[in-house]
Amino acid sequence: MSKYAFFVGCTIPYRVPFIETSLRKTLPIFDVELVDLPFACCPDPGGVQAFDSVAWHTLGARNLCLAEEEGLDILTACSGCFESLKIINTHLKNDPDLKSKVNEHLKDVDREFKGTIKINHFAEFLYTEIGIDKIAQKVTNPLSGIKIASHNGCHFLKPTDIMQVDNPELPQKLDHLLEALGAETVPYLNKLACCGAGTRTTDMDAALKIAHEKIVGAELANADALVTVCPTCYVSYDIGQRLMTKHFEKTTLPVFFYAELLGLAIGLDFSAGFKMHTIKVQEVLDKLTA
Amino acid sequence: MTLTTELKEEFKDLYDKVKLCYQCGTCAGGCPVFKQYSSFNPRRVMEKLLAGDISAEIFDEQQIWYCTGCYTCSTRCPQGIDICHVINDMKNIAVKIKNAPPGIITEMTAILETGITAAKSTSALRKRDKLELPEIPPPDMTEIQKLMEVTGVIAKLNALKEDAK
Repeated sequence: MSKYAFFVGCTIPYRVPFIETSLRKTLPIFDVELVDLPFACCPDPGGVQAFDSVAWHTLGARNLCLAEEEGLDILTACSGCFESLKIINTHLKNDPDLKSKVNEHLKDVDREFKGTIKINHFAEFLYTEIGIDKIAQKVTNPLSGIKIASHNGCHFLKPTDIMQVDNPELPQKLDHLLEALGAETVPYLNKLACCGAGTRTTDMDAALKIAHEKIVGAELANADALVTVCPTCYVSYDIGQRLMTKHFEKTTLPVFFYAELLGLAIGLDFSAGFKMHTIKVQEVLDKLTA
Repeated sequence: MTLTTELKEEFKDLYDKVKLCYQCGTCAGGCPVFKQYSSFNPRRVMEKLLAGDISAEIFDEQQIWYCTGCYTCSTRCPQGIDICHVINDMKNIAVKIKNAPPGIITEMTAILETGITAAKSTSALRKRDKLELPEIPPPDMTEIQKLMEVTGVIAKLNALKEDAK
């Protein structure tokens, strides 16, 4: 078992907790032990960074310190947390002035950023540390017969110079992760499009219109489902589709988080969580067992 | 509104970051917000910065708060300008001159009070129970509040709330 500090974030536990279930059940199967620490908000790469950049770095550094003190690398499944923690970790490791400014603040809470850990996103971790072959070997219920539109989202990949996960203009790793489960991935219009969540606090209607483009693209490609690796994108599309009816015709495209499909393919029962999706997923599940 | 000397300095830093912009519009072309809401145009934001508009008007407007932070512009800019980050810097200045959307104030207040942004609603806790999920260890709030105090967040938040009255 390899141990990681599990950075669960805010959105996963209190908005879409079934995503947390999918992570806590699947990762141990790949010999990953998740350790919970008293982390606070990452903090939010949109709101808090916009409010005050130094405060954003400082609050993020406190989270990094908790993991450093335990000698654990961080594993997160929220792309927003991944972005904040990875950018802050990288900036502080490379910018001595910023590091001393932040450490000056951290002294007030008896902590010090040292720069000794690595930040992992679970999807990137599965791809690079576990590997496609090992994942495919665990599959007992291949997801054959369904077409999937994969959504990488923004913060999993960008800013590219720091995230260094995949090509932001032609990402392929997520498709490979899905294909390892036996699913078919489809190319579709607006595959690279943002979910619009960053605009939600300013203008909900604009955010919903941005998110709707993705649903249109996936439906035109006859996708059975949309798959995300970010809980915020998940919320934009699953709960978002219900809100979009204010502006557009009703759509019912099922949305999954990657770890849910991983669990299904390796034979886990996530039925309690599937019932908590806003857009019903039964049709997809029926297709898989047909 | 006029800018203080300190903010004029910050403005000059912004100008230095964008001075290579030749207004090609690649940023606007890829912007997911501009596509749906044409009042927010990142090329125009760059144009105003290039023109040296220090009247603070560009920070007074709500437009910059429409940026969704997706980094598509930064990824595609042929001049390598980190436009998304420049707009974030502009938001930092906007907060200093007390121009922030109510959503940001709500979010910062939530972190100050609970350490997290999402509310632990009864329905969320009920779902966690049903899914047999463990309790998440809560953050030490004295630490969070101390850090928000020493980084000046609390003072800025109070100024914004006072202004909103």
